[in-house]
Amino acid sequence: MNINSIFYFFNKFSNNILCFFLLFFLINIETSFGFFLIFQNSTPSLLSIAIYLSLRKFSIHLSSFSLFTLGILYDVLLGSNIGISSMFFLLIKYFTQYLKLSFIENDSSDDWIYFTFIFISSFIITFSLNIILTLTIPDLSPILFHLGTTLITFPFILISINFIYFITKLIKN
Amino acid sequence: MVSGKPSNNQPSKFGKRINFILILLCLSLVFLGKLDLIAVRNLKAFMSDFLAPITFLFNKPVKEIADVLEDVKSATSLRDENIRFKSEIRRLKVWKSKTESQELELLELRELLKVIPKKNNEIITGRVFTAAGGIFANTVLINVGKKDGINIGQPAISSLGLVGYVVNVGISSSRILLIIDINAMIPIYLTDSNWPAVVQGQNGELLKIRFLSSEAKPVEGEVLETSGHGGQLPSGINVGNIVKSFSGNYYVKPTVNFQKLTYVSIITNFNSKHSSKNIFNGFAPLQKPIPSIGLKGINSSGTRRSESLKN
Repeated sequence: MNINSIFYFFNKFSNNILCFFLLFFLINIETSFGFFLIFQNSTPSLLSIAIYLSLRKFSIHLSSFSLFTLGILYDVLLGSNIGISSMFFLLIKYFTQYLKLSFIENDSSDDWIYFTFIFISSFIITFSLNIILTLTIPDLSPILFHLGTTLITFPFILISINFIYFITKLIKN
Repeated sequence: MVSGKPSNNQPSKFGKRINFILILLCLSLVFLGKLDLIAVRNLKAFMSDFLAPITFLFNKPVKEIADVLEDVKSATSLRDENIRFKSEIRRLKVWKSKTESQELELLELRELLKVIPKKNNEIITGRVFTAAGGIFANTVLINVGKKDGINIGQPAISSLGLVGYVVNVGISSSRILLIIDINAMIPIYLTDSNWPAVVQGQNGELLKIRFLSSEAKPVEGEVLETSGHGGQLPSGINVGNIVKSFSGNYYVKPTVNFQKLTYVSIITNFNSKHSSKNIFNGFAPLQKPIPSIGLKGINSSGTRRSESLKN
């Protein structure tokens, strides 16, 4: 193994570690939103937005193992069934990768629609699994609130990122 | 606008296989977790213990900000609240004088009937450091654990009523399953009519009433308390009030505000040892019928046997 490949693996590893800690920070932020009165029943899924944007906009290849571990930590923090959030995050990653390779152009302006499709399909799978586990259909209002707030938050984050990018581009020029 | 760089991250055959294995692993973990294995439970408790200080560190400033916002909001309605409190104090004073005389009467009656006095609850109070809002689970972490004498199954209460019960215990932290969680089922009784029932969480604001007799007629605003059936929870803890939905169905609104939980008390002298689950020692052999003294030709219920009638 030459020095270049060692450096490459080291670089990849450090990037993954950095992403892992950033996403872990985001998990904590997301769970602490529950203290606000408006997010009393459920909080928006910031992590799914982060996973989508990192793959789609920044082309950061998030390791599946990192997402799996993050999901486990998320479940431990919230007290839900271990593995359910890991599956959700991994599904978001796989769907985004699949859509990116198959359909989406790099400079697509329909990100919100793609995200809606990916998020809702991943959520439906995990939600169905949860129904199978509990054999009961839960109250749908917190779930719809969760879906709604996530889908509303997404364009705001996207616009903010584009705005920051635009400003930095202006400064550079 | 940010443009994505051309992707060179196409998943290889090996990557696809890993992805598939990871999804399978997630599924097996979900089902293993549902089996409630001791190893999984211990792992969860260890990880909760490990993550507790980090979570506390992150949640503390956000909670402070939320409290400040709440204070600002309530400051605007100070005048109205003041008027409401004044009228409430007047009403409570009347109640106080009534209850004082009733309490004396109750004590005298208890003395007459030789009622065994209720055992006082021993409680340990812990601070809640996570928010309750989750889509698939409604639990909170508190900063007391095994070292403080907390065990699985012990009931958690606040000054307003029942909060839930302990489902996982670490060395210095415990997880409480809130009564609004879909997995929580609490045996209750309607305080006005004494009908027993079970309330189940729905991961929402209200609780569903189950196994209530069709003869029961719940009244809106009626108070519900724990019945103590099953021996998992002590009786007489306030759970909530009955509310009627637009569809005409009855639900229960918990008295505890789960969003404002700061401190939770665990009743430590009432644990899962009382439950029938833990005292189960295998199936008992069928009992032989006890020979009863009865008249010839008449069965135990007092009616004449058919063969004796023929003779």
